[in-house]
Amino acid sequence: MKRLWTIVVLAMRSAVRLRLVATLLGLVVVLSLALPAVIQHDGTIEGLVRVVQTYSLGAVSLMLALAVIWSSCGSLALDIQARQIQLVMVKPIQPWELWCGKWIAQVLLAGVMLACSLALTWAMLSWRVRAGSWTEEDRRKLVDQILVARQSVVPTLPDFEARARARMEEDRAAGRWPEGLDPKAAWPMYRDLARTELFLIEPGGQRAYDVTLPKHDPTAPAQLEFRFLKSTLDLEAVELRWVILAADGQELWSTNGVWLPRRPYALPLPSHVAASAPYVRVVLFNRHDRAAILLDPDEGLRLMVRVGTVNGNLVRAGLLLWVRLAVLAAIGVSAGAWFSMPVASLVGLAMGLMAAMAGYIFATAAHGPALGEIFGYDRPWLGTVEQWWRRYFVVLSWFTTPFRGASVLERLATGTVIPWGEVGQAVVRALVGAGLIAAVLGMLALTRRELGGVQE
Amino acid sequence: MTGQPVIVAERVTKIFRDFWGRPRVRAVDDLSFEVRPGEVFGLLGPNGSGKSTTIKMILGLLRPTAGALRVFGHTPGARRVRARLGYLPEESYLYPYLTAEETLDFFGRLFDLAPQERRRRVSELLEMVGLAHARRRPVGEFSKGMARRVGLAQALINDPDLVVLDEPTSGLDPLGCRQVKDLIRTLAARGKTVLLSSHLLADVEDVCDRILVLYNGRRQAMGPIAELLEDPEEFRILLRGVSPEVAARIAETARAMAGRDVQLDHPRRRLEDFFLAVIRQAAAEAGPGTTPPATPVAQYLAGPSRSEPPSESPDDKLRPLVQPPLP
Repeated sequence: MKRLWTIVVLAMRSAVRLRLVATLLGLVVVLSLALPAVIQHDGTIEGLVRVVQTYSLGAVSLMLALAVIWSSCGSLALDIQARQIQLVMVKPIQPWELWCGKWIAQVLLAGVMLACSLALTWAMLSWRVRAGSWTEEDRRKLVDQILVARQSVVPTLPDFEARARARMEEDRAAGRWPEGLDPKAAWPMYRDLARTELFLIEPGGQRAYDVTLPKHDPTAPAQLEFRFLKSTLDLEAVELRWVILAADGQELWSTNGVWLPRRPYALPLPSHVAASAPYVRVVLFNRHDRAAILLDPDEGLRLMVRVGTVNGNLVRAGLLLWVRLAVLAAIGVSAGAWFSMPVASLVGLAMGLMAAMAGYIFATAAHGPALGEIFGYDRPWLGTVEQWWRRYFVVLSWFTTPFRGASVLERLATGTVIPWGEVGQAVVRALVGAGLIAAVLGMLALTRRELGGVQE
Repeated sequence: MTGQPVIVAERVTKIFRDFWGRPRVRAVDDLSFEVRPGEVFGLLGPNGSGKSTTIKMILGLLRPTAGALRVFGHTPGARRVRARLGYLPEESYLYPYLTAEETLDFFGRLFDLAPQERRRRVSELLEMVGLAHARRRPVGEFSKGMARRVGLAQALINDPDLVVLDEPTSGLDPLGCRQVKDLIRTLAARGKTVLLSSHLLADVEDVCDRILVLYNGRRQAMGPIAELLEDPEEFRILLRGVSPEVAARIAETARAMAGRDVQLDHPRRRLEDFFLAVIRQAAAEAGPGTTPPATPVAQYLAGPSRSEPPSESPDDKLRPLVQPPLP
């Protein structure tokens, strides 16, 4: 372990004395402080927070990702190119000590830069939202809805799959089954249909949703968020009535109002509603006499409850970003062990690009490509090609596992909680996924590659 | 020079291949030799003859394409081999942003030397190579000769049993060259094995017990240097303190007895000896206050003579750097 830390210290010295640290710090300061100062926001306090947190942290994250890729590629590639590796590898050091030492230095460097960026962003945000700059209502919104860690809770749905299956069998028996339709392809459609029905409310009708609240802060105000579609094509608003009942049926809160379809709404709920955990029933009455309404099955109805502080959320966001940078560093160090600096940088950038496309890669790995839409579904080779194409994306998805998940910065800016479980999962995925694969490949390079090079 | 050979090469071949795996250069071809403990073994040859490739295979930085290579009875590159090895490459591949002191400390840490011992060795080695005054300067600011001295110091930081020196006098001034040669002799006197590669024939002649001459990767000649250079057909008589007339008469007598021509001339001093004498005299005349030449390296490495068996105790292995100089 002493040799490993010797390599860490060497790499850190190199970063400081070759002015990498100073340059990165300068860029972090500029991006964290200057960028939000010059970008115009929409005038709302949410807009300001979005600019400060999403734009500046996003820009810093992108800059750090590129810097980590470049720097980690160079940490071994340049040593090999300048032949300093020849002096190091004839000493009794193990390849894993060298690889880990270089990687840890990159991770520490990225961590310091990220911590500086988070601290500067937080300081900038605190200064921009200081008392006197905004109205009392804005500041309440900030404290209650934005600078918090809230969890969105969706209704627990009854078993709709049994109903979907029954309907599918009924249609097949009645001959309403389209010719040539594969039951495997039909099942998701019936399933979605049955699920969507649970969010449909007929004219003058009502529907109740049971919501199980997680462990949360019962003293903090909650929110009811909803969005709906209307069955008639007009711009007329719809009168709705919302009622929230406790487990014993006692009415906790209710409101009547007129709302427009397609627009998202957030209704503040008094703290005693959230205090009635763990279970509430939300009842929605459609007062329109002609139009049915349909809540968006995914995000059309949810309760937002506070489960933590913004400080904790900021720390977890920082850790998630750090884990991702650590994976990029592992890829970079290993690429540098195999290739020359320019090639290693290109490999690192390609991996960074893959990380940015993690969502698409996972979707393709899970559902397969839609090549039929491009070439036509009657191609005889389509099945085989799609099968191999999907396998290829499954392999790619191993590398991009740590980058999976909803946007960290988006959730930070909207006050949505980043749970510790997700951070833990990201660490485990990084350790057993791309990070581990990269580490093994890098150490293999140091063991198998002839570091003496051609020199005659 | 008895015991198991330190290095054994048996029909070693090294072929460098291109990107597609096609043979490009046969750098070493069917090379066999042994290096015995305590000897100074020279690899001699012109540029491109395979000296550095052979050295890098011994260090484990390259792998032979064919043949077998053992160092201290193990595969080259094994950790236990590397722990007993010191290496000075033909260029000083040092980290330019580290100071001389940090460089030696870094390599000392890789040998897991205790902090106190490491500090002491760093200090003594810097003084030994004449860089104590520049210990806190980054190596990147050094001249080639100074960087070479740091490279030499790092090769000795672990008091190695086998010292591999690739072109050790390259970039050094005559004084530095002489000190390196003194160092090599002293290391050998302490029972250390030295493998030396050079194309400077005078350097090799001065210090090596045996040499291997390479050309195009193949062995051209090998053996004790005295045997290889001695011409049994010729004799030389050295006369001191006689007048030219007496010398002429002796030559005439010899010519008459041998029945052949006899050459009579004055022996010449070697340029290196002459240069060193001039420098020493100039330094003595300049007196105190002038920059003295670096302390002779041999004094720092003085220890038991090669006739004594080398000590196996770990304490003894660490001691020589602080032992008093030889008279």
